[in-house]
Amino acid sequence: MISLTSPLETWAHRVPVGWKLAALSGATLMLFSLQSIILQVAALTLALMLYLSAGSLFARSGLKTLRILWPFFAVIVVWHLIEGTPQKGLMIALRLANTVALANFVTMTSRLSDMIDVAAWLLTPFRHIGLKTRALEIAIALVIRFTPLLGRRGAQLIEAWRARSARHPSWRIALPMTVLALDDADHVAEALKARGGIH
Amino acid sequence: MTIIALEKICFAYPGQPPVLTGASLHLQAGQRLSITGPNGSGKSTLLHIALGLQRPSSGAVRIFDKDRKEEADFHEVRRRIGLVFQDPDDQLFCPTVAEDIAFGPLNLGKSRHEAMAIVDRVLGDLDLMNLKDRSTHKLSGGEKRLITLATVLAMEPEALLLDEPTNALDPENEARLLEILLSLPQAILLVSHSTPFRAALAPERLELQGGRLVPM
Repeated sequence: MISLTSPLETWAHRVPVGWKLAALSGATLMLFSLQSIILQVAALTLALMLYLSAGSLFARSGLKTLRILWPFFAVIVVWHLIEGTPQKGLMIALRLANTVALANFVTMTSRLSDMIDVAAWLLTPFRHIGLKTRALEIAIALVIRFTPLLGRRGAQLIEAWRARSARHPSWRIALPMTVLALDDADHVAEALKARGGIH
Repeated sequence: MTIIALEKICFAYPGQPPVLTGASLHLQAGQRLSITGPNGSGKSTLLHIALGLQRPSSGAVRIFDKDRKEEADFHEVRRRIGLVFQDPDDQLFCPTVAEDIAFGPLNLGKSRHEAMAIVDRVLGDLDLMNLKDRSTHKLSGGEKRLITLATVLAMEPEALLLDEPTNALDPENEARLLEILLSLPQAILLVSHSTPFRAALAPERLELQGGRLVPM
């Protein structure tokens, strides 16, 4: 769920979300059972072809969002080089790339309301025993809505730091970032209440 | 009919001196009233108190001719009075415009089909249909402001509380917002620092001075 939605409509938008999520679950299980690097590379190639099948603009946009994975790849590979298990590191990195790429593809080609409908359907048994699931459904929407906003808040703090300091922004922005996030959460809670809250 | 009646409202944030020390106001159906005052004088707090988002330390909140004290008392109030927040990013909490506008109607018990019909009607009325499937976080400041108004209008409120609605709007978007607001039949309680905007929309004015509202 790195990206929100695709910048353009593709064939995959017309596939029911339930099918896409079921296929994603199946593919993820299969990727975790594959122990061959060659097969993981083949799966990655298939994932890339999936992106390209939706057009070059879509593929560029989708793959751009996956850049966020590079630091994780670096940590995994460096750790396994130190451990003396580079093949295992490569396997984990490929598995991560495959699963996140496929999940991102599903997110980009699915309307959030349809995703929430599927989540609501999956949670039906909980409603039958009297539990309220609306909060969980709204929580999914809130996470997707506010992830980019938190990113922007972080970028604004870094800019503010740079405007007044020649030094590189340090861990010291973590505290104001946390305070801002809590403040935003407070405001959103008020906005939710103002429009009827969650029942 | 009196929509909002606030009587001698007192309020202080924890560890701070009181911001409201006996503020009173009445908003009638169809009336347009503006509140002015310096930054931090309690204008936004007053709007939040009217919707039960903040509770006064003393004073009476009477909305639609009923005393409102407990959280449950305000559920009806929030269905019938719409608050447009100062920062649109606080108000738009769904990923897309359509979903955000549909949130209120769905909460009012409408079916998804009915809610989407309301989304189309409100966006059509405001001439914003082109924004329907956009991500809320990718809208411009002016677009966000107009969509926050749409989210509130979708609930068909009887009154609108507008907290600095022209913040960060360029003159073109401000004029468009004003045109939309002037066409609405709802009572309006406006907080705004913009003198021309106030004069055009709600010239009747109260000023917060020392925690109390004074007619100007």
